[in-house]
Amino acid sequence: MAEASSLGSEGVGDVAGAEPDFQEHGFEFHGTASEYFRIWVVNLVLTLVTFGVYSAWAKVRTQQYLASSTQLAGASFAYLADPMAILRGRAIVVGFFLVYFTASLVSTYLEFAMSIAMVLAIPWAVVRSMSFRAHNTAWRNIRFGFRADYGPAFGAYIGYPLLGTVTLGVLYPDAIFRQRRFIVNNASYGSTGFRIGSRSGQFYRLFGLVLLLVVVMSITVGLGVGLVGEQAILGAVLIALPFYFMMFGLIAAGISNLTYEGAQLGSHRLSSKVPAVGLATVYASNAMAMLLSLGLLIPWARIRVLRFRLRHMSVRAAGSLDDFVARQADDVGGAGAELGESFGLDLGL
Amino acid sequence: MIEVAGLLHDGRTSRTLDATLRVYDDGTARLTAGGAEQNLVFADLAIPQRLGNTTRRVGLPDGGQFETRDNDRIDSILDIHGSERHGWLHRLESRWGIVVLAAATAILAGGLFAVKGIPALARTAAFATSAETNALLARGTLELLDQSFEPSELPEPRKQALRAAFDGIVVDASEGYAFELLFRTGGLVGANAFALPSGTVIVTDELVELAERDEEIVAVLAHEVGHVVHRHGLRQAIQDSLLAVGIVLVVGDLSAASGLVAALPTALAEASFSRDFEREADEHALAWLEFHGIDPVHLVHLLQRMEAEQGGGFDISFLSTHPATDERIERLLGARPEGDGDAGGP
Repeated sequence: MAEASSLGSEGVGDVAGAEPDFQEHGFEFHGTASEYFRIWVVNLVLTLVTFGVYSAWAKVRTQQYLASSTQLAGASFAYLADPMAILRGRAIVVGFFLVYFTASLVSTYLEFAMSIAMVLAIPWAVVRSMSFRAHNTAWRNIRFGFRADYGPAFGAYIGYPLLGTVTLGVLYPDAIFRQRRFIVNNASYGSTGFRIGSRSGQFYRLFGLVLLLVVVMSITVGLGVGLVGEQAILGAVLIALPFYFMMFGLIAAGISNLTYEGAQLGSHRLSSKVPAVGLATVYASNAMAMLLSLGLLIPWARIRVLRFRLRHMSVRAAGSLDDFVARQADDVGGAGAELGESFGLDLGL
Repeated sequence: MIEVAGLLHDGRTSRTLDATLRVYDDGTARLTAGGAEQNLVFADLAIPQRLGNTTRRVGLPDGGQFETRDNDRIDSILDIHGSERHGWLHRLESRWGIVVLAAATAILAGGLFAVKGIPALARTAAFATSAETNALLARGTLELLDQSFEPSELPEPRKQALRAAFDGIVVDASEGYAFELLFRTGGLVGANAFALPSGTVIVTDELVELAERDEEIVAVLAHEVGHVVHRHGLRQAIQDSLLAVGIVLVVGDLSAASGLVAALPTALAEASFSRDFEREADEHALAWLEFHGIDPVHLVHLLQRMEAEQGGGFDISFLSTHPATDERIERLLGARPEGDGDAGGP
């Protein structure tokens, strides 16, 4: 049984050194840009032809392709969502926004009430979305899971971020930490829960670096504009662009690493050591390629990012990975997943 | 007999066993894993359709799963024992010719839809609603604008004269709008005029002072009324939302950094929409001016002076929301009757 009592988060950093019998399993990615390009184009055309209805099936096919192309310790991941569930979810989202739009035309008070309702629904939507996605992802024929109550979700997605804003960002890194902890600690594989391995302080370090980068960028752009003069706007954009990508690389790699590195699953550990500069380079070259190819290289770019990230992630297994036990089946509808999508929350777990 | 090597996962624990699936010519099958054997028939096997060269998972009656990357052998089993070898999706996806044709069609159709389809849809939708509903869009906008405006300092008689001229313009416009002319000090906004969907037109003191003749102001007012009666406010709102949905469908859930890539086509399309509106409003003004025997050169003069005041200079036309002033001027002057000379000039 892998229903291991959790080890507690103290001293996580030293565990790898203390227990030499960890066996490292890397993620292998077998997808190719050429295959994915063809799937993407067919999806796109069918979505256009059906005025968007096919997009639910397109999403499932894409996720199936990416999951099935990812292997860990010999077995690949599976994406099992029912396209109809996703379509129903999308219909609910569209219905909600139609009601919202109509209400906003009728009265300002109604619009205000609707916005409050929408904000209150966000935590629910996030939880639904993550449950749907986790429940429909499997490895070795065992599903992942995600369960959380409304209260903690409200704290993680509304309460603490609000506190972070009110304190002019001082508590913001802590809010992000709490959000990531919420995501990891409520996730499970079979009947075994995940537990985050990072601490609040590490998020402060990350955002401190980001802040430093912003300061350096402002100074450089200021100096650059002073030098270039007349063509100031164009010059400023050119100077700021590398910083922009570096910032995204730093944040994306940093958050991913702080989320997964050292996270526990039973007695096993996850590892994520995505290099920020490398990721920034991938982002920058991807953006260039997508622009120059008028979007035709979007599939290639997606595969590239995924491959790069997976190459730097692994599972450090303490012994066999054979002992996880499935949880009793329970169905999770698609509405939350689609609400999450329409809010642009893509929380790649 | 076809033999496929793979892994068995029973669905109860994450234990993985090396397994062999054998399907015999008579339709019976045998699964061997970890020293145990399961006797099956072909009909028991839930074989999914092929998706590229990704792992295939064969569902077993007891909830177990046989996982293999040997797609070709699974396809051979399907060839011999039954059902369709591939789904039609896989057939589409595996032919480059079809894919290239589809890609070209998608780009063409997508581009055409963005440039022609979205504005046409928005126009139909905007004129399907009543003028009153259209006006609801402006609710609260004036209050918002007034946060950056100061009250007008124009003398009352001047305002009265301009209001009378404005009434002369809107008399010709279609009914259902609550036309009203307001004056404000523009401050940072400078010399400019705005139209709200309800029919409220706001003119800054700076614009009134910049004009050398009343005809110039009248021409600008006719342009703004053009924005109102063509329902540009509502159409813009509809176009921008349709565009956003379209772009998400194409680009999908790109990461934040690549969002920059989606932002550029969005900005380009929105700028193009906005330029079309300006042209339409110009045409509206032109028609009105001609009908009332006012030379469109007055609008030209005011435009030139506004450009001179704002410095102009940095005008990248494909990114700007108004057509380049020179282009507008050319069009306006091109519309003048032959041999009219510059008679209306100061």
